[in-house]
Amino acid sequence: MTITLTSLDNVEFKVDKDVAERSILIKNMIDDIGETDAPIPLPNVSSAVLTKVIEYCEHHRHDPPQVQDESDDPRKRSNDIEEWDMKFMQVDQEMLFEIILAANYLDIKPLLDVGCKTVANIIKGKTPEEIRKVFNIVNDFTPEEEAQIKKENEWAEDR
Amino acid sequence: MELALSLPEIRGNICRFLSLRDHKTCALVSRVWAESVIPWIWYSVIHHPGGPPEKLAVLHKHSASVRVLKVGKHRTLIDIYEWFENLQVLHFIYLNYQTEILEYAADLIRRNRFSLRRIHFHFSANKDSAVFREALLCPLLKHLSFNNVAIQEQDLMESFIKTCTRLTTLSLKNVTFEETVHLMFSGQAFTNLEQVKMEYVRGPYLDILRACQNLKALTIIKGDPVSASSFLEVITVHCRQLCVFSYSDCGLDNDGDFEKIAMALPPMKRLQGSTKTIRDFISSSVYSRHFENLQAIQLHDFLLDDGTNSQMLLSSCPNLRSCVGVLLNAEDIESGPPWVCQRLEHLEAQIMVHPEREQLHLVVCRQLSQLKELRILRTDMEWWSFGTRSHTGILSLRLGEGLELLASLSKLEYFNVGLLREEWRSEEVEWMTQAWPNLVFIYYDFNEEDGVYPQGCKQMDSLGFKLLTEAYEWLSQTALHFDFVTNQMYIQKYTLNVIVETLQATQLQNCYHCSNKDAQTTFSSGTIFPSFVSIAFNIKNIDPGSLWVCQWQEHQVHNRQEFAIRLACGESRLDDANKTRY
Repeated sequence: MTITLTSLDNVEFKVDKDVAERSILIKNMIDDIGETDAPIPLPNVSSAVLTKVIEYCEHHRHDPPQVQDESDDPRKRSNDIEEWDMKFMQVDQEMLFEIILAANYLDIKPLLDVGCKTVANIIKGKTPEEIRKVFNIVNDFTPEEEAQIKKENEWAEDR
Repeated sequence: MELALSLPEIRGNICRFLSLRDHKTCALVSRVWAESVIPWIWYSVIHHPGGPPEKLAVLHKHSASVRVLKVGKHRTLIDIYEWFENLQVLHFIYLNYQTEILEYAADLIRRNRFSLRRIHFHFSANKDSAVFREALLCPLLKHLSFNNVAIQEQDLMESFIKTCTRLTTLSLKNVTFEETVHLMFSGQAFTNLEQVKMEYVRGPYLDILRACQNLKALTIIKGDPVSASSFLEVITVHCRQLCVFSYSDCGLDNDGDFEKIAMALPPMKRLQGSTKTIRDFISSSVYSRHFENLQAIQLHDFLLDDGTNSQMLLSSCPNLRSCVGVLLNAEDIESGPPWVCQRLEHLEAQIMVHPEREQLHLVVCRQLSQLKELRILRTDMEWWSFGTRSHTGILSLRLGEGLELLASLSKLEYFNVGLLREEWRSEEVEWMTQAWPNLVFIYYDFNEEDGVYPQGCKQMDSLGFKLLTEAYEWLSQTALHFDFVTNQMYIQKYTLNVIVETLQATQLQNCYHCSNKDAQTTFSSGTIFPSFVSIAFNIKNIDPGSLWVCQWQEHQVHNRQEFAIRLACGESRLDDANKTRY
């Protein structure tokens, strides 16, 4: 069965149901509304981004459903991105964040995780100033605040 | 700031994938970043005594964020036991407690009863079940690891099985079930218990297994001897999912008994035991029903003149991923069927080549070259001969004598050749760096004559390969992982990456024994230390993301120039008591 999705800029995308349902948001919509030919509007997602998202979902359409992560530790590594995903994520920073936002909105957890891992890999090893530069972040700390955080963090050891 | 990064849930999700060091950096980026990341900084805490009062004040301030708590020496408990209410993981690293301090330990567990998922007592000197009792009242408990307790109360065990329904792994060391306790849980079961480890356990501990229908992995080390017949009865009736079995010195080794066991065991994925009994396993067709499924085998008590045709194992097990502790005779390789273990990633063997049959070096290398997935290779288990070693009988590993055939091992990360037969020349070294781009560790040892340090070895050093004596033990102990969800056994590349990622680039030239805290600053400065003893450092305290390169200059301490590094890392730390010195 085919689902029609409409992007922010009114472009229609026809996708197979199982591909569309990689998005939990869309899956729930379909479950609630029932099967209908009416297109599903996605006013938060532009066509350029939706194209990428659909590409991801199509590639991963046969992935097993995500197991509820019951492990003790939500902290994960970021160096285990598979090759296809890595190439998929080789986009400019603006598109990277658009994909993250779309994955967040559409509730596609694996895509969200891959996006966040990619950002984490950008952050890894950088100084605070370098991070601010890359992401255009303003330093709104007072010198005292900064010193306080630094001091406190020195006492944090995890092993 | 990008819209995505302005959303706290996105920032939080990014933080999940960062290490502590990067968390600390992010905390200094901006106020909202600090807000997002500071809970992660305090997610996992190890608390040692000492330090100024502000250290405690800061921990108290952030105690609500702590989910993983590792408590060091006992006195610290009194300071902090009341602060935590959402702990998920609790490690008592030092439980050298006096009774009054134990109360605080019990209280800490009680306060976190409904959130604790994992409790580890690493070391305990006090036989008291009060703390144990509290642990058994945690309904969400998935992992329990306990040392040194004598269990006397029947009701304790009964409430245990009723309460801890989610228990997945159980590890008991030096535990005694007194006569007042029987472990037959009629009608009750640990339905989620998949891994059980019993070390030095006394009492009818096998009875626990009757309640473990979903048991997948079992380890029995010493303790009260187990009779083969009762073991068989328990396993074949109750534990039909068992696929990983490791044992040592527990009475199952009596002649003939293990054959019955091997015939009755469900097809094994991983087997670890003494060579004495498993050698029959290897050579007899009685055990062939296990060959198809076997992914890992590890033998202790290696016997040099064993006579076993261990290479049969490699010719019979197509799914073998890890094989440790076998003796491979070049003549057996020559005359035997080809190896079928194409997926082998981890091989630690003693390869013997008769000194008068030089052409066998090529035969061995040709066979080894088929193992294209190999990541960890050890060709000489030198521990069988302490003291006088000779070069006879060892694999050559020189260009022109077989080394070049190993070019196909492109995934090789770890290479331990033990005693070098002849020194490597610069050709060998250059070849190795070309052929094996993933090589991270190399260990070699040689008998130095006339005080001359082989040229090839000097070059190896200058290329910056890490030399390890004992890290391989750590590697081989942690390299294997059995995933019960996917039912796959695989070598965790992650463990090797941890070493690569967490070591710091520096040049160590002759080092002193140094403490853990010193390691970070000391070795990053490139200082040269005047005289060599040994170095033991804890890489936990070293920043991830950077690379250690350890080199050493010639400095004679003994005839054999041996460089010992003991690496300890995280959960896999090898205590001196536990470390096996081969």
